[in-house]
Amino acid sequence: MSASMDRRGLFRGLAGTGLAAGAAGLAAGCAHAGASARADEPATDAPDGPDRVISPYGEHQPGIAGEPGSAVSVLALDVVATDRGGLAEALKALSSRVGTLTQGYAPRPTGISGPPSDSGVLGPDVPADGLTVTVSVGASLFDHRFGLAGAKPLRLKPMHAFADDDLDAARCGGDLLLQVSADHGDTVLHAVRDLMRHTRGALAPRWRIDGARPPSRPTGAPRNHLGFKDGIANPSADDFDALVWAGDDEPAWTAGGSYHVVRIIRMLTEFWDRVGLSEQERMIGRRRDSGAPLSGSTDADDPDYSDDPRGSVTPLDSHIRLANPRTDATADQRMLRRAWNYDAGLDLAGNLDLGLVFTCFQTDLERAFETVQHRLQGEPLVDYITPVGGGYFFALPGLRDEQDRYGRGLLDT
Amino acid sequence: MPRISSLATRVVAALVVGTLGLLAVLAVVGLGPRHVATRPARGRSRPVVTASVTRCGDGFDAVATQPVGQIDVRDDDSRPGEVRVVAVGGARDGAVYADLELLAPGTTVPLAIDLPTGSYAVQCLMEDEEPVTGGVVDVQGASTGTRGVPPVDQSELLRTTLDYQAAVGHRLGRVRHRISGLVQHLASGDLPAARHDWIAAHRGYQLLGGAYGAFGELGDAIDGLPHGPPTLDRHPVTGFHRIEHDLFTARPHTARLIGDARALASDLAALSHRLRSTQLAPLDLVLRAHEITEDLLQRTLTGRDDLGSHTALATADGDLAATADVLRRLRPVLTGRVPHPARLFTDLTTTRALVRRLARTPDAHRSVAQWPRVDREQLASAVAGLAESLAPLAVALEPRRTS
Repeated sequence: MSASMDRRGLFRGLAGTGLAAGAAGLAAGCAHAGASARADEPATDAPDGPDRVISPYGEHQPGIAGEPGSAVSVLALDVVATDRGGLAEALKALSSRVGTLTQGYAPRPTGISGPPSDSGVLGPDVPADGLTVTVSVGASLFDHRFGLAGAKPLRLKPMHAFADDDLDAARCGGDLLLQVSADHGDTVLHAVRDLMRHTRGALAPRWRIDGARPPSRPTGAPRNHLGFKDGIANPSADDFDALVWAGDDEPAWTAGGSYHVVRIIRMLTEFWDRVGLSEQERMIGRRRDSGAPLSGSTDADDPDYSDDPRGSVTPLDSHIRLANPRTDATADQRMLRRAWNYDAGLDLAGNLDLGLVFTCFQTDLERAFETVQHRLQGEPLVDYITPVGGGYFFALPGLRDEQDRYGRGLLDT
Repeated sequence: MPRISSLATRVVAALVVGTLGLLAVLAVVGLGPRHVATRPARGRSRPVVTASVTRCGDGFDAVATQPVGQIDVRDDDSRPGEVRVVAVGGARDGAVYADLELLAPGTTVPLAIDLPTGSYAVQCLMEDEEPVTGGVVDVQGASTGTRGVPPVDQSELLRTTLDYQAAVGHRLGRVRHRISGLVQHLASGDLPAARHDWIAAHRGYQLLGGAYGAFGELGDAIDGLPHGPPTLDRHPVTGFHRIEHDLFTARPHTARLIGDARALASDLAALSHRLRSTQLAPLDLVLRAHEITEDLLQRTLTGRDDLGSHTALATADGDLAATADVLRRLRPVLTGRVPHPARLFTDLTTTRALVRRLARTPDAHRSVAQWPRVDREQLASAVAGLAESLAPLAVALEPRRTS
């Protein structure tokens, strides 16, 4: 079914195209290349400042290395189309909608030719609002349906359950994954509705989880539902070629892409809240209030285990020490982590269903995520957290320009 | 349609524009096929266009240089009314490019426009007055823009709606016949035959296209669903789904079922009477083009309307057949109003074939929740895609005043 995609053509506003990036400094917290404020819009578009426009074009998808937005929706989909042409059409529709939505635009009036083209939830002018959409593919896309088996990224495979997992099949896997992030939750949901509408009939939604990054309390990285600052340590951009982007041994089309892991991690917060503070801090390896490593004084200090071989200060089985022992041998196991808190109501016993939408990007799934995950197996923290869903994906290379589309290199193979 | 089109109007329009405006036009045109100008520059006031019998369209000439963006429509009349921007002359003569309904006297309401190159005028349809058309304005717009649609007059659909109503009445007769059979089979204790009657009657009822409350309270009594668990539902379900709940169990309570089936027969008789004594509005026919599939998505493919029979595929088959019937009847008015009418029929045929294929699998006897995920995804996506493609029909074919 293709009618719903090509009957709503690309409609791009003037806003955001070919504008000077001189105002980028206004975009608070947005430090990466490719971000620019819209020069033709005064501060009225967003309630708290000028609109933040992140260009979707470049070697990499901008949602990976860029500062994560405060809201996210992770949406897994299956391709319903049965041939490569149908898949290409769906990816083309996604590309053109992402190009439009991420730059802000005024939806086209439809007159009496049909219902409004836009949901209207962001008002008559749709702001960019820091929107990024990261499009990734799952291993199942490389089965017999589209003749892509030979083009699969070398390390891509289905995610199997780890020893401490309790996976729910209804929240695992998918042919495609959209990680939609923006500065506000309404912008994220607007984009999700728009993208689903324009691929209706071609892509079947499979599972979805929404998350939020709370503000700093009071400073530094946002806190997760356990009360600890999360995502303090991440590799710096200098290391991305070695740690994040796909390697040279991968199929040529993957250049600029990255292995993308999503884990929906339930946190048993009632249980956690009944644990003493020093035990909590021993399990994590950081102070709760400041975020400082147990070996340091502030959250800006790097953890230091060099004089602590027996774990007298930072227990050997603390989460941060197991995850990243900070040795030369484990340096290439680091990954770029992006996490948001989720809140999904209650479970049957009346416990809060809270947790983390954990995502990470890396050059090598096994070398990074899986190695670390195996090392974390049985850590004391596992009593308080349970991975329940997610999957392994490969984030596609970035769109080069407005004519480009996701999976171009892949579908040309 | 009275026109005040004249060379003079166009000359005035050009003079009003001024050099800056002309430059703006050139700039927009010079950027090529991509649609760029989405709003007037800041600081430039939006054109105010008058809606009234005597001064319809005053101020509209400003769109010559601002064909994309918003205009403010001010009802200067003492009457409420409707305002349209229509094409004048050319292949799309009379096509509507923007429409503002429910305009109250004394109010000013913004109206978004996106006009492709052409000549346009404002049409004012004030209550109890003949339509009035204002001066014609030439617009150098973008190569794309809103798709103009010729309005459908009520009269164009009267015959079709009457025919449709007759067909619905005929089908209802067959449903009633099946329900008589159901009562008899229940009385004789032949439960397999009774279940077969129920399935056939329920599928037959879907063919009537009574989606979305088209039959009002009677429709609810016949094919309504529980409003909640029995402890919360003060108006327990009746009709098809009450019978379904009790019939598709291991040991049905036959006497109670006979009473329920008779009550359903009586509601169907009342519906039959109403179909004969009242006239269906053409708008009802138009709305059904997509509302039957909306019902299928919300009630059936979510499993909500399955109270034990596990006949989602039979329901889907009936719903899609009903949609195909409505679409066939609307075919004459589709051309020129929907971009790819043929594709609608193709998509519908493909989806019906998918339902028939699934009906040959164990899904035909399972609740939707028990289907393999891929089957659920295939059918839900096909039907959702169809609903998306059919949605414009309800707007584009809505009967409108043309005189």
